[in-house]
Amino acid sequence: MPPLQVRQASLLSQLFDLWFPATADGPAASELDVIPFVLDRLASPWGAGLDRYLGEPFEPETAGFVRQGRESPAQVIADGLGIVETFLAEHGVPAVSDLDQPLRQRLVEGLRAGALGHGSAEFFWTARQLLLEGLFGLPGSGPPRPGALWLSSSSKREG
Amino acid sequence: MTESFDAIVAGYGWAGALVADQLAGAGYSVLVLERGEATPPSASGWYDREPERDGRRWRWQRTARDTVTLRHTPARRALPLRTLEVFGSGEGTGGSGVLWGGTSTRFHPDAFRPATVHGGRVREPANFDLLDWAVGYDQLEPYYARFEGILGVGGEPDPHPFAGWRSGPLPCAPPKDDDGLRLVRSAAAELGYHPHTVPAALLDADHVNTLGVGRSPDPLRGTSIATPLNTVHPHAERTGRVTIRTGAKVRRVTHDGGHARGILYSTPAGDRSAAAEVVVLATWTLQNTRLLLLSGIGEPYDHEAGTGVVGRGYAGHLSIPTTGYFDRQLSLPRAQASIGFVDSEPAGDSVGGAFHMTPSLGPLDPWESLTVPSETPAWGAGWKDALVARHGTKLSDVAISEALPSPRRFLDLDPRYVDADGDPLLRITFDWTENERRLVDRHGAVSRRVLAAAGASLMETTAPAFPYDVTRYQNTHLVGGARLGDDPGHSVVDPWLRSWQLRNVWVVGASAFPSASAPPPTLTAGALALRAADDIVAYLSGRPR
Repeated sequence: MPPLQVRQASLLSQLFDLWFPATADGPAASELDVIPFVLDRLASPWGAGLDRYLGEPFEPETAGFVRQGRESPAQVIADGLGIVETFLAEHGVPAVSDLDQPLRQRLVEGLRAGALGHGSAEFFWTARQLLLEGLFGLPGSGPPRPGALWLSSSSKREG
Repeated sequence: MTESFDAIVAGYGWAGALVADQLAGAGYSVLVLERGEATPPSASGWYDREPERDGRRWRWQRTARDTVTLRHTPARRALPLRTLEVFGSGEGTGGSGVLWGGTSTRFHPDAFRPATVHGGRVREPANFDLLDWAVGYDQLEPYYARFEGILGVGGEPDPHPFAGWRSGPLPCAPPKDDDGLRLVRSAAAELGYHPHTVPAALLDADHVNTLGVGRSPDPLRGTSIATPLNTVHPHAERTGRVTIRTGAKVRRVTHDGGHARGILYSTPAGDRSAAAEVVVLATWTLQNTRLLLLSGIGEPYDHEAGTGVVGRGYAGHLSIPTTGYFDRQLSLPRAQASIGFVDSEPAGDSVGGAFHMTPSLGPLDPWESLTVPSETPAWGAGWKDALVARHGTKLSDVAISEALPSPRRFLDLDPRYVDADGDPLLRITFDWTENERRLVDRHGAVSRRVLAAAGASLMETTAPAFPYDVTRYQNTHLVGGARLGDDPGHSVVDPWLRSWQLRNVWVVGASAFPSASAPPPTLTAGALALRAADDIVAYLSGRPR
């Protein structure tokens, strides 16, 4: 079973394009092949949470400590997209791109601060990490991703 | 039937590979038990472009099976590190030796006398647990030289003022400075420091080491890096006396009557055992200590009573990175190298100097280019524009300073959490102290001064979070827990890394360090491993020292 429904994948792609939009410097996240990469990651053992230590007991979160919750990264993303859907419904718009700038700000900063409900901050940081990996590749492994090639070609650095 | 060998070596990182090779070369049969998989060969030593397997970080310790717990103080309940972020121990043949950066700096002679050097300066002596090494620089120098020959260390021919004496020059020339490194070298010199190319197992030309094993630069990075697999392992294999068993996780040293009999280890097919005349633990700092505790070797440290030795003296490094942003593009380096300098001037109330190093900005890993000034928006067009504008305009000076041993920093077994075999996890009790706050202030300021003198227009120090934050990488320079010494009442192993309690067990690696000094630990850990191997050969040959 895919880690996300088509509707959820579309919503995640909209969010990624909000964070990494098309500009004069180059394309948006969705044009850099991010979503297929992220879906593969969420379907991997990492996405399923199988490379984490899952020994009992699970304790409440502690600041400055690695995540203690039982949920897999795929579940964190699915739950967080539910929060985003609720936000859109509350403001009567079908897509992230239909939000005006103040509401976009409220959505992203609300997620980041954990102010949009349980799991919203965890969703923000997990999704942001996935966006970076989708753009630039996993730190220190795998072939260069389209975002990395774009960044190198955009730079005026001498070889 | 239980298999039998002259020696069993647990772990196949630098320490395990060096000992296994030396014992096999002396004619002894060696069984190596490695919990991870066989790492594929890489002539250049770089693995960063290996396809990923099973999710992220496949060469790091698999926390799903085995991890550690951590608490900041003894009064707190420890929580498991469900993923490893703050440090990254290796797994598989080559161990952390296929993850390191190649820095191969010797410790200063004074580093072996921390109690003597620092003892009179500490403001609150009860907060420190300083122990002189019982091995001095002079005794270790021949082993430093041997390991440098195996690594093929490149560096400048003349030692800087903070280097100890040498019996011979470094075996190789260093890579040439690139644009950024020239700027830092010049700036540090202007400010009165003694900048030098950091000795490193990084070479920009083909090289054959003292064991007759060759390696070649990676065409994209322009350098090769020494790993156990392209320096020691081919030599060990040629002896035909080393059996490497992967997927074999050591659970206990079996012993009776004051003598080790062998090893109990787990495999996917169940538990197995093997017998040997000699057992060598070379499973990195944390696992070495844990195996001693699980096996009942040595008296566990009791921080309240101040008794016991196993788990005592856990220490390490404090990494303080400062990024300097320049108003122009720096040219791409053609090879990997670092410029370093030492700042050992006593300052205020802080105890401990720092080893500063600025590495080449790698051309291959875009993550190295994602750092942007802290005031940059975290998302949107502003963030994206900054990524482009700042790409290739940054240098980072990392000050590595010493987190000195303290009675409040120690290792023991966790009472609640267990690994996949049902064995208790190791519990770390650790937090930063006021001394480390002072070191951050001092050495961050030094880095900013140097980068400003190099021409950076904006400097930002990323201070480690207080209390100790395990969500961000710090370093993997963890030491202690099975400290060496000349008194069984204060140490776990003798100056040859031989267990005081079981005289046919050696505990090899940075677990034996009584303190961390400032340079990265690998060169010193390898030198101690070669010295321990000499001791083991003497024992097996019936000619103990």
